[in-house]
Amino acid sequence: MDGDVVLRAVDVTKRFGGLQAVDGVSLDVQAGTITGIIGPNGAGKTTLFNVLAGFYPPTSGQVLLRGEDITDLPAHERSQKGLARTFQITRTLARLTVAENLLLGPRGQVGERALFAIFARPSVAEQESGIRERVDEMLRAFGLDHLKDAYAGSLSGGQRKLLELARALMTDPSVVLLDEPVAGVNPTLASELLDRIDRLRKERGITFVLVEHDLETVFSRCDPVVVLAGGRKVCEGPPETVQGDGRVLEAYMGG
Amino acid sequence: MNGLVLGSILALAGIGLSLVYGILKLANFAHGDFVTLGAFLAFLFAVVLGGSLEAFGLTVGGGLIALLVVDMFWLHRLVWGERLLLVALGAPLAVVAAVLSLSGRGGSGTTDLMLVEAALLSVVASIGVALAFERLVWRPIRRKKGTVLTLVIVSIGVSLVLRNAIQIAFGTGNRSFERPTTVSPNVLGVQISTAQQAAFVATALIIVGAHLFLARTRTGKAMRAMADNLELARISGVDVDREVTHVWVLAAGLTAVTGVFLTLVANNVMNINMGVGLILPLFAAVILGGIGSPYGAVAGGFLVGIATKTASLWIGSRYEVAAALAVLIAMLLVRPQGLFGGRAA
Amino acid sequence: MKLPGPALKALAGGKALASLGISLVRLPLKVFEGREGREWRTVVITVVAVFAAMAALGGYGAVSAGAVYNFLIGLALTMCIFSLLGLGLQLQFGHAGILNLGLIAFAGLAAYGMGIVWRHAGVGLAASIQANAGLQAAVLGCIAITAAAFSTPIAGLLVQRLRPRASTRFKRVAVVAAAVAAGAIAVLLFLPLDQNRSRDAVMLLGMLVGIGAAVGLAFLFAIPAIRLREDYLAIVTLGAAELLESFYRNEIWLTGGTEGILNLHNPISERALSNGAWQGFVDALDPNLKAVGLAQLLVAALLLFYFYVLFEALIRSPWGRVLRAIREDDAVAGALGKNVNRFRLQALVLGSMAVAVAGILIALRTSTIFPGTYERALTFSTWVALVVGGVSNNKGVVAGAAIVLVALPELARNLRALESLGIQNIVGPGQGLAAGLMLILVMMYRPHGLVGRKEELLFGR
Repeated sequence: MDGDVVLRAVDVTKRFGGLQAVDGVSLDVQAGTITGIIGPNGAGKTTLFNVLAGFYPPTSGQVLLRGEDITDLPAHERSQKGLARTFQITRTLARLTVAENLLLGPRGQVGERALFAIFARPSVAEQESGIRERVDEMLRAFGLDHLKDAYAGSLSGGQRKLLELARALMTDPSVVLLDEPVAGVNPTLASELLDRIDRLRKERGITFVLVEHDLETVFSRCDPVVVLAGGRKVCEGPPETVQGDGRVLEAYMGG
Repeated sequence: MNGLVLGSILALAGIGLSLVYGILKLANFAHGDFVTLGAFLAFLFAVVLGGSLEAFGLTVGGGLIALLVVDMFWLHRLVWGERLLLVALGAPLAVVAAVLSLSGRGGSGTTDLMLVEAALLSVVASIGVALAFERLVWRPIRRKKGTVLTLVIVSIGVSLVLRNAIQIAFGTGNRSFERPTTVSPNVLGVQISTAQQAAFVATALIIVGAHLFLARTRTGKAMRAMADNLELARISGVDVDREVTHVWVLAAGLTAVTGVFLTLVANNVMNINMGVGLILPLFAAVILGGIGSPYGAVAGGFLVGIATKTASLWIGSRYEVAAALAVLIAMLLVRPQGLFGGRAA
Repeated sequence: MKLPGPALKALAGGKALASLGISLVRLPLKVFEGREGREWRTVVITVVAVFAAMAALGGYGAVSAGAVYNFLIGLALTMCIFSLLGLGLQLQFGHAGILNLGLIAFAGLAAYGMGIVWRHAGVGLAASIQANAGLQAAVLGCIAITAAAFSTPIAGLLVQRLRPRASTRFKRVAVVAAAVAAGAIAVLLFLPLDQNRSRDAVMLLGMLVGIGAAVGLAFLFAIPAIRLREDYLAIVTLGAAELLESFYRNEIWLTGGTEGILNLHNPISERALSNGAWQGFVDALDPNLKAVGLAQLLVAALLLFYFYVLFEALIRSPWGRVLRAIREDDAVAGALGKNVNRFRLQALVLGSMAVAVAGILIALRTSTIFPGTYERALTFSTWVALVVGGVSNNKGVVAGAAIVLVALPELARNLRALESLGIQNIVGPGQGLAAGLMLILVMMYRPHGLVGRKEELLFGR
C-alpha cells in the first residue's frame, strides 16, 4: 500500500509568530485519488495547502513526494518534480495571451535557458513547435481555442478558472493541488470543472488534492475526505464515514 | 566633522525623510537636494537682506499676513489653528519691523542674526518649494495610484530639476556665508565656541521640539498614525491631504535647517553636490531606524554618523560611502523593518 | 543530357544559396509592417527629425557641408553609444523589473578593465605576441573562437527567419558554417601580426576582461536584486556605483586617479587611418569627412544592431516569455516551475554586457578613461531616455536616446545665447533641468513613453 502513496505529510506544524496554524498534521495521499480537505475557517487548511505547495516551509515536519523529501524545496522545484498547484483567486498572467499562459507550462523547455535561446536557436524552434501543438490540444480539450490569442486579463471569471487548471496541467504533473477550485463559480461550470478533474484522474492517473468550503462538492466528488479543525486533523476517510462522524459536526459548530 | 556632528545632520534631515518615506511611500531621492536648496536659499537671503532687521520683519511678517488674507478671501484652505499661528508669528514681526523702520532705528544686525534670519527665510521658502512639488507632482500621482516604482523614478526627476535649477541660479562654484570664522551664537545665554558644537546643540533642541510636536500635538499624532497605517488613519478621521501637507512642511523645514548647519560645519562652504553626498547615509539612517519612525531616524542618524566616521579611521575618509552602504545592505538583508520596526520590506 | 549526380547536387545547393541570399536582401523591407511597423515608423521619424533639427542648428557654425557631416556623425555616434546603454537598462528594468540606479558603474568598470590591462601590460604584451609564434597561435585561436561565438546567435536567427521549415540538421549546419566563416574572417583581419595588430589583439583581450568584470559586477548586483524591493534596490545600486567611482578616483596606482588613463591604443582609429581603401572611400564621399569618425560610427552602429537583434530575439524566445510572466506575477511563475531568481540574474548579466560595450566605446571615442566620465548623471540620463522612448520596448531606446541624449544637449548648447542676459553657465544644468522635467512629465502624463505599449506597462495604474 505504501508504494501507492504519492504525497505524504508527516507531522507538519506551522507557526506564524504566536499563532499555531497547523499542529502536527499527517496525511497520506494515495495515487489516483481525489482527496478533499475541509474544515471551518481558521482550521489551517490553506496553511497546510501552502506548505504542501512549497510557498513556505513548515516549522517542523516533512513533506514527501513519491518518497522523496521535498520539505525544503522551493515552489519552483516542486513544480519541476510534478507537483502543480492552482490559486484560489485566479492569478492568470493578465498581460500575456491565453496561449502564452499555457506555453509557460511544459517542463524542460530548452528555450527557457538563456544560453540555448542565444546560441541554439534551431533546437529551440524545433522544441517550440512541438509545445505549440500540445498547447493547441489543451486549448481544444478545454474549449478555449477561440480565445487563443486573447489577453488573459480579458477572460471571464469562469474562463479564468479553466485557464488556471489547464495551465497547471501543462506542467505534466502527477499531483495537482487545487485551492478552492469551485469557489464563487456557478454550479454548471463547477460541475464541468469537477467532471474534468474526474476524467483526468481516470484517464491520466493524476492525483488531486483539493481544499474546499463547499461540503456538498467535497462529499460527492472526493474520496478520501480529510477534516481539519484548530490546526489538527479531526478525522479522515471515505465521505460516508466522515459525514456520519460526530466529531465533524462538533468541529464546525464548536470550533 | 566628527561622528556626532555628522550624526546630528543625518538625524535632522532623516526625520523628514523617514516620515515622507513612511507616510507617502516615497523613497525621496530628492531629499538631499532639498538640503542643498536650504543652504543656497539661506545664502540668497543673507545676500539680499544684508542683515537688515526691518527687511526681514517686513518680508516674513508681511508675507505671513498676506497669506492669511489670501486664504480668508480666496483659498479657504486653512483651519483656524493654522490661521492663528500665522497671525501669532506674522503680526509681531510686521509690527516690530514697521516700528523700527519708521523710527529709523533699524539697520544691520550682527552676522549671526543675519544668519538666523536667512535660515528662517530659507525654511519658509523651502516649504514653499516642497508644497509646490506636492501640489503639482505628488498629489496627482497619488490620485492616479502610482506605484512605488513610479514614485522612485519621479523623485529622481525632481532631484534632477532641483539640482540643476540651483546650479543655473547660483553657478557651480562654492559659496559661503559672510561671517567671522568662529560662530558664537548665544544659546540660552551660554557661549558655544565652535560651529560644530553649536550645530549639535541646536540639533538636540530641534529634535526635542520635534518630539514634543509629534507626541503632543494633534498633527504630530496624526502623522505618526499615518506612518503606521495610512488607511486606518484615514478611517479614524485623519484628513490625509492636510496632514500630508504638514508632513512636507516639517520635512522641508528640517532640510532647510540641515542645509544651513551642514554649510557651517563644513567650514562654511556650500556647493551643489553637498546634498547628494548625504543621500546614501540618509537612507541608511532611515532604514536602520525603521521607515516611518522619526525617533528611529534620529537614532539611525547618529548611529550611521558615528559608524561612518569611525570606519573612516580604518578605511580612509575617501571610502566613507562604503560604511553607509555596508550598514544599508546589512540592515536590508537582516532586518528590513529597522530597529524601531517601521514597516517590513 | 543528364547531368551526373554530384553536379546536380551542387546545382541544387547553389540555387538554395542564391534564394537564401535574395531572402536576406528582402528581409529589411518586412520591418515596416503591422503594429511593429508603426512603432518603427515613429522611431525612424523621430530620429530623422532630431538629426534634421541638429543639422539646421549645428549648421550655424559650419564652414562646409563636410563639417556639418562630421558634426552629425559625432551626434550619431553619441546616439549609438547611449542606445546601447539604454538597451542594457531596458533588459534589466523594462523586461526584468530590476531598478538599477548604478548603471554607469558597469560601463565604467568595463572601460577601466580594458584600460588597466593596457596601462599595465599592454605594450609589453603586444611585443611578446609579435615575437612569439606560440603566443600568436594562441591569440589568433582566441580571436577565432570569440568571433565564432559572437556570430552564432545572429546566424541562428537568420537561418530561423529565412528557412523556418528547413530541417533542424540543415539549420545547425548552416549556423556552424557561418560561425567558422566568421572565425576565419576575424583571423584574416588580424594577419599579419605586426605591432599594430598585436596591440589590437591586446586591446581586444582588455575588452574581454572589461566585459568580464562588468558581468562579475552583475552577479554581485544580483544578490541584492533578488531579495530587495524596488526602492531598496535603487538605493543599494546607487550606493554601489558611488563606491566604484571613489575607487577609480582614489586607487591611483591602478587607475591613474583623476589623471585617468591616456593614450589607449585605439584599434578603430589605427585601422581607419592606416587602411588606404577606407581612406579612399571616405574621401570619395566627401573630402572633409573624417575617416576615423565615420569608422567609429560604423563600429558603434554595428554593435548596436547586433545587441538590438540579440535582445529582441531573446525577448521573443521562451526565455523572454518567462521573463514577462515573472514581471506579471512572480509567484505564479514559480508555481509553474520557473526559477525566478535565475531569470532575473540572467537578465541582469545580459543587460550588463550591452552596457559594458557602451562603456568601451565611450573610452575608445577619446582613447582616454577618466573617472568623471562614468558619472551618475549618465545613469540618470539613460533612465530619462528609457522612459521617454518607452519602457519595455527596445525600439524606443533609440528614439529616447535621440531625444534626450542628442537633441537635448545640443539644444542646451544653444542656450549659450542667453548668457548675454547675464545667466551664466546655463548649458549643462539647463540640459539637466530639461531632462528632469521631461522625466516627471512623461511619468505623469504618458508613462508608456513614445512607443511603449500601454498594456505592457510596468508601472501599473
